[in-house]
Amino acid sequence: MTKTEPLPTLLIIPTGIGCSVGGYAGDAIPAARLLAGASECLITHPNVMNGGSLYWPDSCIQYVEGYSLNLFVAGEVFLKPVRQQKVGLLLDAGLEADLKKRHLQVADGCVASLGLDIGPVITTERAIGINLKKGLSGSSWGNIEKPDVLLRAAEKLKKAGATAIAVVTRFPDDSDELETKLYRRGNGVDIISGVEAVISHFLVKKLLIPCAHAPALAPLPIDYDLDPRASGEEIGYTFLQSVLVGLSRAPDLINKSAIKTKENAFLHGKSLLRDTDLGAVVVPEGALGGEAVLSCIERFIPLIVVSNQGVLDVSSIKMRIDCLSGEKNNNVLHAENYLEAAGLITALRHGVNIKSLRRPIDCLKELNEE
Amino acid sequence: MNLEFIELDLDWPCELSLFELKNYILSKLMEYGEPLRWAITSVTANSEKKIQIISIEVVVIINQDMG
Repeated sequence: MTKTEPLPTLLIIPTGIGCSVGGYAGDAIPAARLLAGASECLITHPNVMNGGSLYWPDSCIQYVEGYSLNLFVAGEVFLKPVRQQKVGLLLDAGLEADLKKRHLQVADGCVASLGLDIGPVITTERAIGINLKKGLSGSSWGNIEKPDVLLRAAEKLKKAGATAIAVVTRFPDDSDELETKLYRRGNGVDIISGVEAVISHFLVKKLLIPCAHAPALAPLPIDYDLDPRASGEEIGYTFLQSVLVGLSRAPDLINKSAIKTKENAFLHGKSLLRDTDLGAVVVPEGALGGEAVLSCIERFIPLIVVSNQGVLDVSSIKMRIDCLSGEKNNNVLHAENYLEAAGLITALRHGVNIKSLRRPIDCLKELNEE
Repeated sequence: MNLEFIELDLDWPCELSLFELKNYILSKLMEYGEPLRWAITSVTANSEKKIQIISIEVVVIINQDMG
């Protein structure tokens, strides 16, 4: 019996849009594990894999930040799986002494107990300043007051040998109390996650290095009606551990121009993951207006659209995706949930015609009958 | 260098295919700065003009030398 090759699959659950699965604290990790099992090569981003204090390392999952994903899908960057990254730790000068110490202790713990390679550590010269915003759509966004300060610290880490960067910034404690309450009870958008993505996008754009962010916040009072999906953020003092674990095995980002020569292409050989290797992209039905999804559509990568309610309604109908029917290589598949998506991936991977799994089945037609 | 969060609406003409939409949006966003993170957050029909309107939420990088 021959082994079927993995089917590199991209799982996107956008940050800060309140998805029922993946809109909370790593609550899409089970879905990611399932899809990783089906595909044996899943590429996904920190919003999916970071569960506050909870995480799940899986050798079949590539942890790739959102801006890098956009570059990857557009064919601008290739992914090179690694055994271990040296994760530099960038701390915001806005952290109080105790909060800073908590984060350093988490990093120490990840070295001592998990065997990660962490360091160097740097604190920014001034507080970075984070502003939280909410768009008209209800999505969470935000802004960095001093991007230059953030960038200078990240550049020093890279120069000092860090091959990936974990960023911890002080987030405001006085954000919308009602929003936070709704989120903790499973009915709201994660109001802080949008700006987290902005921070990591910014550093990846400037430095092309794996990067992810953990917010530093004062502990919240206990909520007796906490939704299980938010529980991963209630366990400890920081959310840094899941970021460090994810980054420790994040693939290197290789600029396309770096492997243009035959020699470099040979050296990298089959170890690189390229956009052309992608066999499917899995994305929520209401979130089809992102840059990576549009790139996948342009490249005729099979799109598995999953029912996963969030605040957006940028659906396949509104995006005219269903009107593509009949065009070359149209491959838009719909799934009610991630269990069904895993079945579709399995079928694609093993070459089972999806039509043969659905009822009714149309009879074959000769070309001249159409 | 500054980052700015912007919300804007763009026309999506019927003749513009989905395959061309990303580059069309990026070209429009470049007028505001370097797009860092963006998404289409709603699509509504304008039956009078026979077009669709897409709402975009975006963070752009504005370099000081851009004025």
